[in-house]
Amino acid sequence: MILKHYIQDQIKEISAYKSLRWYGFFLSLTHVVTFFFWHHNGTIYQNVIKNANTVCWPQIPFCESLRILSPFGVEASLYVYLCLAFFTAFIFLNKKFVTLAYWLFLVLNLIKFYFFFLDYLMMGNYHYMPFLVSFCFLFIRQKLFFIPILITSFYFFAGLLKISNLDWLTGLAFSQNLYFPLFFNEEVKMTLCFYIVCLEIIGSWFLILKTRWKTAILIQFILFHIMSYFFTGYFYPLIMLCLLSLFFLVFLFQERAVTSLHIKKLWPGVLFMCLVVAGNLLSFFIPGKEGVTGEGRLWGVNMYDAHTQCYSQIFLKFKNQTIQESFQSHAEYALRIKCDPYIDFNTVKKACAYYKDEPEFIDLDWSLYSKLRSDLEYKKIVNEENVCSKNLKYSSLRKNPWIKSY
Amino acid sequence: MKQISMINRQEKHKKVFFIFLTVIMLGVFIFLLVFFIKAVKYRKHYENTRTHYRIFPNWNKIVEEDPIEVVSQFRDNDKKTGVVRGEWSLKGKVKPLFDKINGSLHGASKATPAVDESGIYVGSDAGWFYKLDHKGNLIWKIYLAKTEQGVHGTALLSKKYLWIGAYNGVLYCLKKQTGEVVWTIHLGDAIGSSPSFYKGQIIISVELLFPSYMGYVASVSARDGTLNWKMPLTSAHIHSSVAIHKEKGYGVTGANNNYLFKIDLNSGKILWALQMKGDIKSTPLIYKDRIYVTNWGPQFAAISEEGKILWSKDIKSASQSSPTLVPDKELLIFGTHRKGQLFSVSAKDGSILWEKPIDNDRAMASGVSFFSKRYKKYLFLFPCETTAICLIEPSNGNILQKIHTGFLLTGSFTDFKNRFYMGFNDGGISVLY
Repeated sequence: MILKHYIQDQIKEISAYKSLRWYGFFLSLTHVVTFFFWHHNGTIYQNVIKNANTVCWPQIPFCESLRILSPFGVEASLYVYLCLAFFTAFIFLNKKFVTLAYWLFLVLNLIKFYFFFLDYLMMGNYHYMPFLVSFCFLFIRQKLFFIPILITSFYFFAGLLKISNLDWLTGLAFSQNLYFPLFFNEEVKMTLCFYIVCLEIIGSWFLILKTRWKTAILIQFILFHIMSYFFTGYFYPLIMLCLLSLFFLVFLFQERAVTSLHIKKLWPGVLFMCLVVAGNLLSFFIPGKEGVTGEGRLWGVNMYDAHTQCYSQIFLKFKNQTIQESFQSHAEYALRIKCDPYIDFNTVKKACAYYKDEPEFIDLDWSLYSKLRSDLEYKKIVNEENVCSKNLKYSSLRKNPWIKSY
Repeated sequence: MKQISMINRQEKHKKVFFIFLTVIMLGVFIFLLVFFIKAVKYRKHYENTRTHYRIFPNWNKIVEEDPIEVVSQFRDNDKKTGVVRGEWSLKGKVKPLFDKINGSLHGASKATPAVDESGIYVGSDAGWFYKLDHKGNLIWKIYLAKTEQGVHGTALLSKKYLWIGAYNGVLYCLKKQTGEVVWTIHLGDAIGSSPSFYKGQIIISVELLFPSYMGYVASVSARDGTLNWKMPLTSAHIHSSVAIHKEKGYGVTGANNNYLFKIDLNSGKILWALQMKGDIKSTPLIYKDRIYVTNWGPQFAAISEEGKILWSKDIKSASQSSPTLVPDKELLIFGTHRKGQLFSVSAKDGSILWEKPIDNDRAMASGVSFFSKRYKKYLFLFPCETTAICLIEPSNGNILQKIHTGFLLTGSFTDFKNRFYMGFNDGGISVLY
């Protein structure tokens, strides 16, 4: 009953604001963009199908049992998802259908959530942010108050990550990017990188303050996202433009959040924001650079600047025979995860499981060497002998003793 | 009145708030500026000192041998003269020891086995490295990942350990008994050369693909795999192994950009670089304070230790066969591989004593000379045909004995207890006795 009332409150709130209904439209469009991203990218067809041999999220180690769709099933589901996204987007614009739109939007997110959590290789900032905004849109009271704060927090934490290693501020994160406009020499590049950090750490707060700077800052963020197309492709800028649309909608329809100071109304939003902040701060409290160790970042934004380079060595030890099975880490994976120790941890675990009944198999040794692009030397991140008999465990919430601090 | 004062108070609070906010933001900006200045400084440092290639720290363990005593088996000694020690009696029989290990996947010369009392150690062009007993039974093997073009060098052996480079750019130290990895160091994109040993250091030529085709020579601690020095990068691959003059502390090697390098083995400094007429693929030879080298020019030349060409001979066709010294007559013999020919040249003045066509257009191999008990003089051993090796009289090039092997030899011979071990181009390991 309480839940029913709570949900009804959410629907009422969305109905009451034209800007929120339009925001529902743009949030539904993020699913349309997601469809095209997954469909073109193609990895979804290998990752989430039945019997796929990929990597489960540490939070969902049983993901293999959830992979029930055939490639055709995935394809069909994606098209249903696309149609539903379009339909939801348009019915959000009609006040009469907001209830239906609300529930369909929830279904859309559940579909995306299902695919997303079937495989760790699907991870990405560009999913993390719309998920949180959608959650806030669906379940948090005072949406016009909390969503801008949430978006501001994304920028702020992204800015903090950018100063936590030197890849971004030195401009080296872009040093080999051929698409960067040619007239940007290294000095201009570095200055722009510094400016973006200032924009994210300082400027982002203007988005939630009532100042004349707000529009100027917003335009700069939009330019930044348009520029990011050259590095990340179309998906990330489109998602961010959809998320940022709220600021324009509020301005366009001249609507303001009516903030009630009553704790009864605000506590879900406050609790939610506390969790978001805690999730983003987690990686700062775990020793080591999260860009290299990957620890703690599953609960917060992670950045483009985590431009790691790495090599992994696994020696499978048999009686009279040793096989160095893997050498260069997964170059085919996305930038953020190709050097994630968790990926190799899974490879190692699978190798242990695969060979455990082989009478000739003794054990395996595993080492992982990583560096950020701005580092001069590789460092030993993992160096474990006889891994199978040790039965290593991975935790996304705390420091893993087998991952060395970087 | 009250209302006006309230508005004034609100305005005042607003002003205080904005001043407070401005101060905070200015503080944060200064904080970020400090970071930025640090980053600018670091970028300069990075540009000045960054390595152009990947360097790995050691795997995890160290060599527990003190002192580490290594005998270079490739080309028989550090100076790469190809002269076998002792007096030998050969029956001229070939016995296959181990099945096909090479698939001729890559054009370079195949690995020459390293042999001692404990067994035979040899790499294949398919990425496996083997230990066999003297009867040819497999003791262990290790697959070196991402080594599609295999292992082409000859391992260095000590009492308990071995060192070998592979075409994945990694130098490995393994335990001889078990094949267990002691340490690895990733030096570049390929290693096709054989390691040499100098004062506890492994000296090895390395090839790079990124940022472009480049090469260098590295010195790595034999004990723990840490990098001691690296020679400045040169603009081509270095496939040639390093010949070493231990007493004078220098090494010589050649690159695919025609240059021959003399390197200070204590610092990695290039003492001189001399341009030859073609790519240098073979291993130079050091004899009596001179350096002898073949290249694809085609050219065979003698160079003084100061880096001056003493004499140079046009050898008509490219050669990547390393010259072999016949010590009693001070001759140097080598093959050419586009037009199969053998040359015998005087080490003193470069006069060509004889040149003979051979039925082996891929005569990339390097021969050996040994003192024959039967003939009471030094003889020369070389793959004179694509499926045969010949015992050759060095003074006139006459073939004394032709031994059918069934396979092409593109590497060299390793001698151990009156036996020569060979790794064939499209075959396995055989022994000549």
